[in-house]
Amino acid sequence: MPKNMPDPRSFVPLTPAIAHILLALADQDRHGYAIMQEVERLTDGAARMGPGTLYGTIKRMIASGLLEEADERPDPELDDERRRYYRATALGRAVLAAETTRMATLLGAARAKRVR
Amino acid sequence: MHLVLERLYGALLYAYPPSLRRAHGPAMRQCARTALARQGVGAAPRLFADLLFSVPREWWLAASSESRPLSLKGLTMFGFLHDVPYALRLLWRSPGYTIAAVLTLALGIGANTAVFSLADATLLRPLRVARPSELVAFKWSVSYPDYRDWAARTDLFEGLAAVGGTRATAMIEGTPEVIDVSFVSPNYFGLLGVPAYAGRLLGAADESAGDIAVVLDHAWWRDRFSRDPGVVGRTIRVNGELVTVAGIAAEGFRGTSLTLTPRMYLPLASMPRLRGGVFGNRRALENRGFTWITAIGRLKPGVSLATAAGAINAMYREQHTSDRRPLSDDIELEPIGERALGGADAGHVRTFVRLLGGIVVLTLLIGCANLANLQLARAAARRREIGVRLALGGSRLRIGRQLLMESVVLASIGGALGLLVANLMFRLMARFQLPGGIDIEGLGLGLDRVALGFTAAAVCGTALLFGLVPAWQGARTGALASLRDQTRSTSARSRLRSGLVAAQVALSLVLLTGTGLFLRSFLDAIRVPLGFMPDNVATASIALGAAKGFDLARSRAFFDQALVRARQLPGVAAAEWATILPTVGSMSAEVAIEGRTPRTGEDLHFYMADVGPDYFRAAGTRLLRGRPFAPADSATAPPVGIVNQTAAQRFWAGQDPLQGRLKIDKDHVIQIVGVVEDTKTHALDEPAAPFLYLPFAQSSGPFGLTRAVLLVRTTGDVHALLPLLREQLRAADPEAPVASLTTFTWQVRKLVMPQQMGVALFGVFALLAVTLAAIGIYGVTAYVAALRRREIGIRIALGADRARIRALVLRQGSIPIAAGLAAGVVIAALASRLATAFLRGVPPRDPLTYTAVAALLAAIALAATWIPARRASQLDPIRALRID
Repeated sequence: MPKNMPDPRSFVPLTPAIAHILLALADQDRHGYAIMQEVERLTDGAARMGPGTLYGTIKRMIASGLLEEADERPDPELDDERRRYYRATALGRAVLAAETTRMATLLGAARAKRVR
Repeated sequence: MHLVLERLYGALLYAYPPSLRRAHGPAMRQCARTALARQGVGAAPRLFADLLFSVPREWWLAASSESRPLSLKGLTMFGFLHDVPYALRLLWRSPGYTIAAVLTLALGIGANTAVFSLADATLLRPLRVARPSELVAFKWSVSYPDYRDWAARTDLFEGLAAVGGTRATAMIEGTPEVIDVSFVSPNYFGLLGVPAYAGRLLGAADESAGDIAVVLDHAWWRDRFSRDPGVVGRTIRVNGELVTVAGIAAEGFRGTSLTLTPRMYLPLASMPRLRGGVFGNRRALENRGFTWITAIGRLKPGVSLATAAGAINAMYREQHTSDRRPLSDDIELEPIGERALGGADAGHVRTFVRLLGGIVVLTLLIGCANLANLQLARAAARRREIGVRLALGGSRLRIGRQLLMESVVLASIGGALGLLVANLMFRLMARFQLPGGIDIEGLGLGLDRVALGFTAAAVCGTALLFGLVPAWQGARTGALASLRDQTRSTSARSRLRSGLVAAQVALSLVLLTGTGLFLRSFLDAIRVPLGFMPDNVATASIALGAAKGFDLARSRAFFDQALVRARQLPGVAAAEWATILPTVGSMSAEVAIEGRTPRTGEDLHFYMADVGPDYFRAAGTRLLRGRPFAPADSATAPPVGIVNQTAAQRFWAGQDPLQGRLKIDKDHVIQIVGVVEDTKTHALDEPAAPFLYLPFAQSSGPFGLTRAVLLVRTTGDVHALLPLLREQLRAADPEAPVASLTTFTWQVRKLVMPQQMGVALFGVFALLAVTLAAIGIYGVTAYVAALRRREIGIRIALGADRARIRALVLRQGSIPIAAGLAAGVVIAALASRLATAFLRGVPPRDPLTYTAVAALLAAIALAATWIPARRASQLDPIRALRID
């Protein structure tokens, strides 16, 4: 973990939009439309993001160092248009880990009390 | 469809804060495009819903990111639906406001949807063909051999298709129906990229086949055959020949011109078998002088319109050097979009549709200003509620969201009702015609997916427009300030409201000015003497050229029978046959006047019509001298004619025209027996031209009788006459090809159509706008007066004169009105340029109209301020001071 990085725990709890975007970028870089598709797939269609929500959130995540722009290239699966790809930064991954830890703790506690 | 939605989405992106739009706007649009391409129109509701909620969120976060390093906290789009029941409950509790708001929005959104559909069908996608931008049409008709030569120029065109139109009689379940048909080359559908809806389209094999194959228009198949898929393979009798239905063209495809609605597409080669007269000859396909085909080409990539036109002209000159006839004008090509809108009239059509768009957008904007005003008043009334919620720890963003949700719910209900309004508008517009003779009815407007998509976007746009400001203000309310007395710190708010009133007044003035200008030019137009009286006349057009079985004897028998039967109908004052109705079609020929040597360059063309003895009474044209035609002027009697006043004055000045004789061809000497008044032949503002009437019984000519119109003047209701007349025509000959049965007034409607449509539509919306503006003015004045209740109470208690109190309130109310009037006059003067082409007899900046309209609006506005002013002056000071 690089020095001078803010404490990832200060970011949690995350809004669902941020958590979903970080999760969608956990395994590979994706462009905007692919993030929308991945979020939909990960949540079985329960969470659907439109372009406005997506890019508004992306803008703020970049400003706070959770995301960075990767390169711009065409997506062979979609069409020949060039698209901007995004990647989670080290901080972004750490924040997602912190959020996951928080939720795991919560889940453990809930299970212990037989909430679910 | 996708492109339209994507453009709408692109336009709505401007609602976002500039920083987001600049950084990610293109990517967001790209996302929307991909979503539309992959998921179809179903993606649209989600795209627009996302827009609706992320726009306020982004503005909020952009404004409130004071020093916080990361404003990630905020609302997500998940959960906004909880606000819907709450909003519904609130709206239910103030039914007056809700009804006013919903009606305003329904009218505004509905009208916009209807006009957008019209714009979609004329400006955006006039032709439902693939890649229309590559298609060009030859401006003039061409001959079949020329077409064949040019079609070989594969260096210029991907392909060149031919289409020639006519009317034909189709027997549908024993009833003759006269329809437009198109004869098309085998590559027609392929070149245009139009698929088959069912069955197959025409191919090269159909050109030489013994059976004639036909492709049906989708809308006609839907209406006439009730969507029966079994029609494919069946035979239909067209002009006496049996044709076999090969397939049905794609839904929405209406041919390549909006002025015609072909119901059948037949192979070009079958034309001589199906048409009579000169067309019924094999040589029609071989003669280079016989031009009747519209050629449509798809340009090769890299070939420009000018290049193609140049190459074609070179070929044309080469082909025709051996012709003795002089070369006609250069061949010109035009984009297919121009041709579709009627060529020369395309510009007028576009301007007119834009004008309509301007009217409805203005009305919607006025409605939005009104609603924003009402919302502000409500927000002011709810300051305490909001203050309490804030004091209890409610989130400002949530409160703002809730206020916005109310607007969204209102707009959605308004949008749903707006669909009904749009349907009514479609019916209203179907009675009109666009410049250039495009019947709006023929465009088949309806609530299709484009209209629904537009309505969704309009709901979203209006909700943002009238909901954002109150939501913003509501959310910014300070908890303490709002719990204190309301009457302070409201000056900013009343300034905003006054600004909205000024805007409403200005926009209303623009609409009223439009109404005034169109009304004046309409009044001017109907005062122009036509030379005939179309009121109370029924007309039946018979397309004899469309019926092969109708030889001269059978036609004559039918004409006589029909006339006898029509004259026996109740209330009929006069009935007669003619070959041409005034202003509907025309025929002209050059004549020689006996005893008169023409000056060089003198134009001796006469317009002509063959009319029966009772024609002038039926048409309402006055006979000035001599006699009308008589039954004695039969085919065997000496040829006679009647001229109009212009011809009499021009060619027999100083002589007795009744002594005059003229010749159409060598041996045919016509004795003038009467003079009638001038009639309009095409348009209202044309100069009068010489006209020659010949007896219907003596009519002859190279084409024979191809068309005849029966005029029936009644003293009763002309609309009640139409079904009776249809019955009698059928009884006279059940197979008579009746092409249209309608009123004379309807036939000549194009004369005053733009003015009439302008008056009707401007009038409806101006009325709406003025009503809305009056409500807005009343609301604001009453609101401001209410704010000053305490002050006014004190003034009265201290002995202020009540008349001065009234003047005080009136003065305050008049400031936004005066500002609005001034701004409105300027906007109207600038915008009236658009209407110039459709105004007659009145300049677009006619001072009288502007003054009258401004005075009218000022009077209405002052009346709306008068009521609250009077109420304020009658205030009981004790009660006013006791409150709070």
